[in-house]
Amino acid sequence: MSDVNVMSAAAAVAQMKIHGAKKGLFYALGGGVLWGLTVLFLGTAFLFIDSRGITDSTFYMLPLVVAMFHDAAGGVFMLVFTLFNGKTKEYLRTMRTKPGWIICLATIFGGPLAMSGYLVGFMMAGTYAVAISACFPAVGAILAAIFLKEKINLRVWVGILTVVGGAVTISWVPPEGQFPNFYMGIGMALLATIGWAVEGVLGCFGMDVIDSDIALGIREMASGLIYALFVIPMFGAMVVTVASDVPVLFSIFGVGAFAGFAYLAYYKAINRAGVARGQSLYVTFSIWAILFSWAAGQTEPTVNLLIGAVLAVIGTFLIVGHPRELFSLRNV
Amino acid sequence: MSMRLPMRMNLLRLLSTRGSRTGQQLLEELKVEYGDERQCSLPVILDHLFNMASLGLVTAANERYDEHHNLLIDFAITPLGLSRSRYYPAGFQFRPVLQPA
Repeated sequence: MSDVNVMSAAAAVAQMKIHGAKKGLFYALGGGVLWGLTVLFLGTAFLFIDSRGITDSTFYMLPLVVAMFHDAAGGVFMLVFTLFNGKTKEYLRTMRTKPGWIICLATIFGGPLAMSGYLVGFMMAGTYAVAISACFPAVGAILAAIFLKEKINLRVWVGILTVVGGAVTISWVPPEGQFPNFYMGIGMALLATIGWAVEGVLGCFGMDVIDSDIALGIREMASGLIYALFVIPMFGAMVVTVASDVPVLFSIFGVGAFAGFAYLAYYKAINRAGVARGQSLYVTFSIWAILFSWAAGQTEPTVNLLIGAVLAVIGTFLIVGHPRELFSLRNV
Repeated sequence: MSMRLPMRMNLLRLLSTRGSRTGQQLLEELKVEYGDERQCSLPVILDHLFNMASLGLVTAANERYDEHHNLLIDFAITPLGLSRSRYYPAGFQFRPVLQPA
């Protein structure tokens, strides 16, 4: 075999690696855009639910009921998705292994724990809770550097902090009203921050040996099931009310299935681009959500939005940097 | 019915117990177990292998063209890949038959 052939084979492999690295970054940014759209659709669904007059004494816990149906819909979406790509049998095989249960553990952190912390935090501390929870990629990067030995150079650290700064700036609007349990709310928002960060690290670890499509399917179905275990006994009447209103149920399932696309991209991103890069590019959803909301005529542009968007763009460029860095994500 | 490992886990086990392999060789070996499943294809297997290479579980040890100009890449398991054996179900845990790359 000639040297020319050996060289071109090496070049072909390098090209395949570059293609894979770019795909990881594309999934992370694409996931952020899709989740930004999901937030817009979810807001519209809540307005629709409100217009249907669904209300009772537990109305304030409606987001948890919606989250249950939403994640269950995501699970159904993934089941159909894996039916098409011939991976359905992998669910049972995976649940007989420890990494399958590690994904379930990640679900508890990222699903019910973080989401409940986020919702309760929002109720108790207003938009400050949203800003705090947007810091999860920074915590995720620290945990990934420690536990997964992920390589994060100075440029990427600066990029992560810049994007998180942008997401916090956008969410940082002085809340209206009184918050007697403000510090409790801040604590609950911190719980959300840690929950989502831990979900990323555990999920990434599990996906070392588990297909990311199957990991997400397990995550969505397990999350829907865990919500059902504590939401139905506590807010059964609300569940029945929502489930018996077919247009409302369809709107939640529709948003949930769409969210499945966003989460599919997110799980592929943390698997291919690493937790640090995957989460920090994904968190740009907070900017996309407000931009889409502006485009839909629901909000007005603000100085915070402008500053946040500029920071996000700068941070994204710093994180993306050289796709070649993704050839070897860990110090091993 | 005998238990099968998830295909990605099986890829790692095969690289450990049978030594370095190309994607084509792995496809032939996996077809015995997963033959009728759409996931058991060369593009999916190569996607898993390149992904596991970026995570440090396997390494692309050698690349060349065959006489038909098909690109052949030998993948080998790394020490990190070997360490994942402890998370495998009993009966599927592996030991290396060859020195890790």
